[in-house]
Amino acid sequence: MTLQVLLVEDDTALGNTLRDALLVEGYAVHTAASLSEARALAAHAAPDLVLLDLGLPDGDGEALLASLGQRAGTPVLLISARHGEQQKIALLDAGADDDLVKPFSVGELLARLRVALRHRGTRLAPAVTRWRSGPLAVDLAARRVLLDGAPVHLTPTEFGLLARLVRSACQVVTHRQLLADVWGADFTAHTHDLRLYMGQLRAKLEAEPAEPQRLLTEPGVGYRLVEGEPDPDAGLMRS
Amino acid sequence: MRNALLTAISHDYRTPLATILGAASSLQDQGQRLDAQQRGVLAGRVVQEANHLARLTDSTLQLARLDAPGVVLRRDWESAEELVGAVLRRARQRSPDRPLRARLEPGLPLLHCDAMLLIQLLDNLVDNAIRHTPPDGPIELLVRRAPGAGDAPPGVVLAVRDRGPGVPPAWRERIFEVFQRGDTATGAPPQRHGTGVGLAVCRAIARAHGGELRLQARGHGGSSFECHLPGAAQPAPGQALA
Repeated sequence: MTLQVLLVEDDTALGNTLRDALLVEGYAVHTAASLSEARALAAHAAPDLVLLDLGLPDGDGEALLASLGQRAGTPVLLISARHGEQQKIALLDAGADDDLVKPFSVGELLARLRVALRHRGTRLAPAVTRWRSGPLAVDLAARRVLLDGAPVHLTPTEFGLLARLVRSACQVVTHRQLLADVWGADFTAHTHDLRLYMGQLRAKLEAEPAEPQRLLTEPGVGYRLVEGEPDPDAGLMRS
Repeated sequence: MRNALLTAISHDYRTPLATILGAASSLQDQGQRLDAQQRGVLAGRVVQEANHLARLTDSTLQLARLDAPGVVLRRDWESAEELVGAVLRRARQRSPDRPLRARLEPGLPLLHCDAMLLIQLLDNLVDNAIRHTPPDGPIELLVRRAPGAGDAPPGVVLAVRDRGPGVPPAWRERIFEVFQRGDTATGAPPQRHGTGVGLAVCRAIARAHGGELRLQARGHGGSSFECHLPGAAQPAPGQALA
């Protein structure tokens, strides 16, 4: 089955480059140059994934996200400019799945696309209860964490934080989402607590906490739990 | 400032642009007559120089932004370990063969800073070290506590240290000025040429945080770029739900 990608990009040169790269990979591509065009296309084309540039002339993308929300499970990958963090974070909080910062390589784009598609529909699917990556195994139901087969003792908050990341494995989870879900709605400004507990979690689960292999920092945005080594294709087009 | 920026832009941007135009037009005009390896080399050059231009653009825009009156930092509580981790990750992707390591003093206080800016600062310093020291030369990211003055909470020093050729004393301050670069005719260090706006934006970021960026020569050769940041009273921990 050919996967359908809805590409929302108002810059013609970048749009054409991305479209051609996606076509070469075997995706079917629908392109829209504005949010209104994107909403119309999304209603008819039933895309498997939406690639949304945040710098569109006719809005900030929230409305498109809301209309896609009615067909929950369609991953939305944001394309953002550096210094556009506020809008990007707002959309990630509103349910977008991941973001790519311009400029990016085609290799990075394709890697993120594959991750988003692999996790497509997980928000609707029965909750993930077991997760494994290399030496790390997490059983959410039993509240058990094993590293190299040996049990790791986590405090309730550390476990809560890890569990929240496991439920969105491979995707970026914003500071606000983590604080709201683990600490509670009144604590969304408590970034300092998040830093301290993430430090503790890394000290217990990472061989080299200053160079984490799984619990990655997305600076200014949040955290991402990844499955061991990053996708080798991600660096393909880089120098 | 405006003139300095324009000079920096015209000088620093033309070289990578010329390389990109040369390689891309060669692919366009001669592509049929080149073999796959030659095409690969040209395409690689376009990617490499475009990445360099992207970094230069970030630095130049940031410098203009920090120079504007009433600049507002997006400060939040950040862990030095995370900032260093993000910088190391990027550097390893760019230069997989370069020996890089981090050394962090245990129990560092959290920093109240703009994470994107501090990452840009460290990223530029690491890139600078990579470009101006031999390919097998080790680079170290060091973070340690610095005693605060009087009753002030302890600050933090973030340092990027190399074992490269170093910078002659006459240039240790001037390399932070916008568009100062080595000039062999006046006996300045040709090794450090091309820092352009890179180090100027680093210093502007440190100062915007009430800190300072300095270059120290190292005992057995090499440079240590040291960013001193003032400390901040640590917030009280909250109680989690879980």
